[in-house]
Amino acid sequence: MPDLGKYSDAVFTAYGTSIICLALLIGLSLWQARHMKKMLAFAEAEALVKAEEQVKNA
Amino acid sequence: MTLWEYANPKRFMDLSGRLLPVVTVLSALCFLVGLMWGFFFTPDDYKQGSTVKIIYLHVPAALMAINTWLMMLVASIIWLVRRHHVSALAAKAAAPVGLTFTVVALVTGAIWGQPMWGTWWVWDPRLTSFLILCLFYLGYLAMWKAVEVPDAAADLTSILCIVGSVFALLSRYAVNFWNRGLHQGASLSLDKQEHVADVFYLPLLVCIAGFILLFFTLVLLRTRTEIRARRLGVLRARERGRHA
Repeated sequence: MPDLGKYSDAVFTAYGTSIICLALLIGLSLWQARHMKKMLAFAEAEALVKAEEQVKNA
Repeated sequence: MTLWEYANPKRFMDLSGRLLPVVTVLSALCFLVGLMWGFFFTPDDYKQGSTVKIIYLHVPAALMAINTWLMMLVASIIWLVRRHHVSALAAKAAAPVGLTFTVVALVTGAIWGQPMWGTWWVWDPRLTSFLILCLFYLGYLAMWKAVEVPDAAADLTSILCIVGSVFALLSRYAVNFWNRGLHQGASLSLDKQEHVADVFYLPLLVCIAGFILLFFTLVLLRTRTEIRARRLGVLRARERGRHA
C-alpha cells in the first residue's frame, strides 16, 4: 500500500465513492438485462402457445 | 452493408451479442490495469501530494460525462431525422451511464477540491455548467418515465438533449474562454505548459480507455435491454388488443 500521507482520507473516499457508484450502475444494468430477458422469453413462449391453440381451434 | 442496417433491431442484437463479451473483457482489463497503475505505481505530485491519484477517476469520468451527452445528441438527431428506434433507445440507455459519470466527476472533484482549494464547491463556470449537465441528465431520465407513449417520449427527450448540449459543450470549453474561476485548464492538452506530467500521463490514458470501453459495454447491454422491453411492450399490447 502506498503512503498517502495526510491526504489518505480524501484519496480513499474518492476511490470508495466512485467504485460504489460504478458498481451500482453495473449491478443494476446486469439485473435489468437478466430480468427483461426472462420476462420476454416467458411472454414469447406464452404468445406461441396461444397462437398454436388458435390454429387448432380454427 | 451500411451503418444504417444496424438500425434494424435484429441485426443490432446479433452484432451487439458478439461484441459484448469482447468489450466487457477489454474494459475490465483497462480499468484494473489503469487504476492499479495509477494508485500503486505513480509518485505523489510535488504540489498536490497523493490527491493527484484522484485524477485517474475524475478526468476520465468528466470526459465521458460530456461525451455520453454528445453521443446521446447524435442518437437523438438520428431519431428525429430518420426515425430509427434503435438510436432513440441507445440514447435512453446511455443516460444513466452518463449520469453516473457526472456524479463521479462532481464527487471526486469536490473531494479533491477540499484539501487543494480549501472548499468543496465554488460557483466556478466549469463546475456550475457540470452541475447543470447533471440536472439535465436527471430531467432527461424523468421525461422518459413521465411520457407514456414511447415515440412521443423519444421526440421530447431528443429536443431536451439538443438543448442540454449547450451545457455539455460549455462544461468542456468553459475553462478555455471564461478566464475566471478556480478550475485549472484541461489535464490533457496539446499545450506542454498545461499538460499533465508524463509520469501520470500513461496510466491516465489507460484509465480513459477503461472508461470509454465501460461506456460501450454498458450502452450495448442497456440498449439490448431496452429493445427487449420494447418487444415485450408490443407483445403485451397485442395481447390486450385480442382481449378487447
